[in-house]
Amino acid sequence: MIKLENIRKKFGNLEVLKGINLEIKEGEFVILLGLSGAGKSTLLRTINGLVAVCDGQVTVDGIKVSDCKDTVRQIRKKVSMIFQQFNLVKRSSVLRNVLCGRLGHSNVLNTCINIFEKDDLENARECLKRVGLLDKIHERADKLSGGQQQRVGIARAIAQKPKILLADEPVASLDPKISKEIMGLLKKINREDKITVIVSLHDLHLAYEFGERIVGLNHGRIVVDKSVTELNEEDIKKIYESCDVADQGPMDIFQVDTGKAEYKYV
Amino acid sequence: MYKVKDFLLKLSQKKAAFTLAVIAFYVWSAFGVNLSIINIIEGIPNIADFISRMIPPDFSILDKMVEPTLETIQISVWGTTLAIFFSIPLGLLAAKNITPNNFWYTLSRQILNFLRATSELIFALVFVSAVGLGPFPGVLALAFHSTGMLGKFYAEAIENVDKGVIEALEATGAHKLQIIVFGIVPQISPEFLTYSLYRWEHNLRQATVLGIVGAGGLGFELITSLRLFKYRETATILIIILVTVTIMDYVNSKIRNKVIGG
Ligand SMILES: Nc1ncnc2c1ncn2[C@@H]1O[C@H](COP(=O)(O)OP(=O)(O)OP(=O)(O)O)[C@@H](O)[C@H]1O
Ligand SMILES: [Mg+2]
Repeated sequence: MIKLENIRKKFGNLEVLKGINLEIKEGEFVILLGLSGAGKSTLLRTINGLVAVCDGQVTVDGIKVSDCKDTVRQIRKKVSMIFQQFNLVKRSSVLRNVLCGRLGHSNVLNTCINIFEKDDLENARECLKRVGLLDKIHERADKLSGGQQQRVGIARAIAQKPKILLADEPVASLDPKISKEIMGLLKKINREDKITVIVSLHDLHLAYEFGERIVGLNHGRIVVDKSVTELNEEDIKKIYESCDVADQGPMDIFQVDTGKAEYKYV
Repeated sequence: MYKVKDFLLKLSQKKAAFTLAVIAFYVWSAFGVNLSIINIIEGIPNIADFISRMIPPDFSILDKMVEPTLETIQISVWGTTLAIFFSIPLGLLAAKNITPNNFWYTLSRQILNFLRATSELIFALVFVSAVGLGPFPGVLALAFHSTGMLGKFYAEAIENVDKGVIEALEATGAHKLQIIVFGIVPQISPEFLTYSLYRWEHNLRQATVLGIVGAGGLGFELITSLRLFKYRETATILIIILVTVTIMDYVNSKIRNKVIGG
């Protein structure tokens, strides 16, 4: 379903992905673990073409991802995404936000003058029902709580009828109880709709509770890739250790800097 | 220790030099514009004389002024509306996050800069000689200059929208036009309305002076009364301008509160 071959990505001089090889089968539930800055968000975004790779090949459902407009549009119809900050259109209604999930599938000019297919409206209601927010359908998005907003984000994502759902730290700004609800919902969608789900997380507890396959990322490299039941202490260390030589560089510079500053005031 | 002292000394020298330069510039400018308190004091009797000739205002011309007043309002309405119409596409092209490419970005920015740099009065002079006396050149003058102002404001509002929302809509496979309609329009609509209404307010005030160069409205009556030394009529026209502008400001703030507050 998804195949990443030797993916490299640089932002300026910073190499964020250093040769990623990963294959994910249809219907899998994959949790992507890694420290802040490990490259989780970047990796997820190479799959739907929000980030263009520098080297290597991403293949999604048999289509090679490129920056050709038609290809990108074709891929994005199959891949939906949810975000840490929910990224809803705050001043728009819940319904309108969910309908956004249909934009890639609909006639551009019709949607711009607010004409949607009857099926799309029906589908939007259906999706809201699944996330338990049908009663909020006409509410403004920013009137909802964080957990509810993420549910709308999920409704928007499944309204797209995707084959793959990418979730970039979907619970990082939610409290533990709500986090579990959201993770449960993602798992349910994975089971019931056979949608391939990739979730990036940094909370290990959630990974243990909901995880099946765990992929660990550290400094742009995959350091762990196994079933959650096989995960051992060694693996956790590999994911969360950051005492790379590269990391000490900035620290040294910082100390030299403060040294100078002190000298000035003596 | 010595180093710090040297450093501070250098700094204060720089500061002193800069302060002197600013003062020198002000003094030089004052000579340039003949800024003189004596002139003002000497002028007081003239000013008093002028004001005394305006009293009492001649209200018998009120009925003749209804038409120019309405014309002034009409000029401001059409000038603003045309400006909004033209500045939407220009604003979109001039916003970094939505412009199709650098060519359109630079071109639209340059057009907006030119329109903004040229004042309404200069545009009015040009259009009066191009299309003749009357309200229409006034409308064009307001439309051109306001396009420059509004286009820049719109572009800035668009550049400030939540990037995450744009990314989320891109991820759904939405077309650029859909991203604008579904993602950008709802985010900028309060600013859009505020800027546009504010511009209308400004254009109304501006429309009252455009007539001075022959572009219709109350300004034309104002300059005529001055030329004919009918100062009591001038006073009436000034009062009409004051009242009209105040009423429109009030209407404006009502609209703004109603739309944004609700
Ligand atoms: N558009 C960009 N331009 C420049 N640098 C970027 C860009 N996007 C990400 N980076 C950098 O790439 C590195 C990896 O970022 P990424 O967002 O993929 O990490 P992450 O694992 O998702 O971390 P986080 O938990 O903080 O979200 C970071 O150092 C980040 O500063
Ligand atoms: Mg991230």
